[in-house]
Amino acid sequence: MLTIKNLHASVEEGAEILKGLNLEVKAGEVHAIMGPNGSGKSTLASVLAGKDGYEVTEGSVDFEGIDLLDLDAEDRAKEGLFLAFQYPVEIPGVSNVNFLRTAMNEIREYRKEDKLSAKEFLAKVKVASNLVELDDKLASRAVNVGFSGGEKKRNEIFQMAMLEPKLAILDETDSGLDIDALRIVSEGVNKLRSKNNAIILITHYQRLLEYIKPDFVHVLNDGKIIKTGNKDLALELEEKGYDWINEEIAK
Amino acid sequence: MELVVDNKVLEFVADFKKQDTESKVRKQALDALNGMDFPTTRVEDWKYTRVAKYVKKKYKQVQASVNVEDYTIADLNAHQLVFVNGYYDENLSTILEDDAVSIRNIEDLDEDYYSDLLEDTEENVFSLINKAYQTGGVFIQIKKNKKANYPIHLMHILDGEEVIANARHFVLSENGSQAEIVATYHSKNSANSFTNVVLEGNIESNASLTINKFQTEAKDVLHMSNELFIQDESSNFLINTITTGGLLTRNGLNVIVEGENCHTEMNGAYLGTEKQHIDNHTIIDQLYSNCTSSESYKGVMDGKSVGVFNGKVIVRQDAQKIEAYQSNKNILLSKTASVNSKPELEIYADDVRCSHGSTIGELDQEAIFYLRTRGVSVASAKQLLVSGFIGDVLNKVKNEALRANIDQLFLNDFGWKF
Amino acid sequence: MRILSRTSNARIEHEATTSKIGEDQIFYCQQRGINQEKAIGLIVNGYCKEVLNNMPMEFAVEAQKLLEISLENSVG
Repeated sequence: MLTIKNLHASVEEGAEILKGLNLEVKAGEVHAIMGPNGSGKSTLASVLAGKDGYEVTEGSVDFEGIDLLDLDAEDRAKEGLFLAFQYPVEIPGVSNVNFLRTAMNEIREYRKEDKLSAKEFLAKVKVASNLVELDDKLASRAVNVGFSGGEKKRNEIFQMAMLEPKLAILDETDSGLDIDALRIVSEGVNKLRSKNNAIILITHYQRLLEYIKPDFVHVLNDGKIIKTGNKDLALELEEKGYDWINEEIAK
Repeated sequence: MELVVDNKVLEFVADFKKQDTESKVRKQALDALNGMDFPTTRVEDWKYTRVAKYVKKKYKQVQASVNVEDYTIADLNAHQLVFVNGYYDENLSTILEDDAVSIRNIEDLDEDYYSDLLEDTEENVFSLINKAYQTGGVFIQIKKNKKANYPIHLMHILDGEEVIANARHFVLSENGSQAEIVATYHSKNSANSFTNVVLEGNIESNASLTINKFQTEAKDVLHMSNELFIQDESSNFLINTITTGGLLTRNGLNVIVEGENCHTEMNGAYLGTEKQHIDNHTIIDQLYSNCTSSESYKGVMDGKSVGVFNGKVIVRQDAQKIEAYQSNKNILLSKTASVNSKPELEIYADDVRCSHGSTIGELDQEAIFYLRTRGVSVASAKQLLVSGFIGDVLNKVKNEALRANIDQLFLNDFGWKF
Repeated sequence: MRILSRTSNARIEHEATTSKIGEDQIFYCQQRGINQEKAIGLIVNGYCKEVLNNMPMEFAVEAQKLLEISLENSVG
């Protein structure tokens, strides 16, 4: 589904952050990318989603046979790419429902599908909000305005459930969540997993992976993936720290 | 230069038993006391709170026994740690089966870890007296990635006149853990006694800690509370302080946010009657970006009571994208009640959203009249308005058993129904 | 009344949304499949909602239409 080859990216007119990243994600898989602060985790998410302010200097990203880097951010979304933000932004005066309706209709138009009727849309809203225990009132409030940290993260997954992306990148979705919120978010994500979609979990902490079991765990350090393993790698990493991995590689 | 002939602090502690100890924390505190003095109203932070007459007294550190049933919270179902006059009473305490929690004597806390954590923080004389002479306390550890099965109830009771209770506690919320602590303060037959408590903690990455504190001692007691919490990245800290008791109360609550993506919430409700003096001083120091903090304190002052609120929010230069909200609202129910409210924002970063609000007022006479025209008595009308006023702070106490306890307390003490 | 001086107003509002916070909001909408023009419309509309909500109905509908036309012309 996603093939990243030798990706080099820098902050516009600034330092190089991704230094030759390689990654292959197939449909049905869940990949975890773990790395210390400054390793390039958020840069990777931003570059894949098409955020301004970054320059790709080398490499390629193929998403379902399409050159992803050639598309604008909104077209990447329409092709089925979803980013659950680390710090979801507030949009005053724009209700969650209105926001999503606009987004979904844009995406459907692109895919030459019919727009959703109000009834169909509301039915979907009900299912999606139950998935992450987001109550009705929050669904009609302005996007993320006055939401607690946990509610913002749940709202991201609510949107994921509504938009049904092919590839979802979850950027530090677990940071700052207490155990109860973590459980709800993880259960929601697990219910959305299918053999037709894929998920990349970007995380700093191993605990998320107890709830959402990954097929692969990659260690990102200094802009490159330096080691790939399974879930046990995450446990070792948490126990021994990132310095240990660097030493292992040096050997 | 003034020659200090008599050191009031040393005199104050003269009769306290010096613990025979290797403890560096004690030694450092003892040394520091040599150079300390009690604050006068000329010290900015103590401008409105006069402690002189209280610190002239001689207090005793003496154990006692109480009937714990009088203080237990119905349906709370918690680990119960009982401190009488600052001494831990094992017989009255109950520690339940809980693999998420470890409860030990405060003396078991690693002193090097503790000194490093608190390096560069300031201490006042009362906190130092506590650390030098503490008679009991707990070191609570919430294990990594675990949620405590039960809340932890720290129950403090003063029993006896002219007694001082120096209890000192520390909470370590390890990475990813979640727990609730309830701290209650009571007194019986304790005219002129003194609760001098220190409660400190470290909330590690991704951990969540909630503290619900109820101060309900009789109105003839001095209460000094020094609280310091340090938050690591992505942690959550919520503390609710409800004060109805004490003759003079001074709550010093400091939170230092040492990581990104943290959330801090500090709420308080204080109700003063007769000659009570209730002083809440809070500081939140934001050192890193992408954090949020929210502070809401509400006071209702009657009789000749005095309320003091001083909330300091510091946003350091590198702490960008911070949201810090602070609000202090007060209602004066009598002409002789008063409040001093001072918000302080020190903002050094440039991409932040901060606000503060402070109000002092009386009950809305129009509203009272309206209620009376609907058949509600003046007394009931006042109660309705006051409950409406503090209701939202009380709603921050999510634990149902605690909420029921508070509601009952208010019903008993003030005749209020929520 | 603000809305009447529509051309310069719309430009001011456009500028407002390209402040730091505005950029993040636009990207958030884009990542959900909404293009930049529509995103700005949504966001500005959201901010104006308060004003529109306080107007009598007939004016609100008019003002809404004017806003849409203004934005069409001002986004280059």
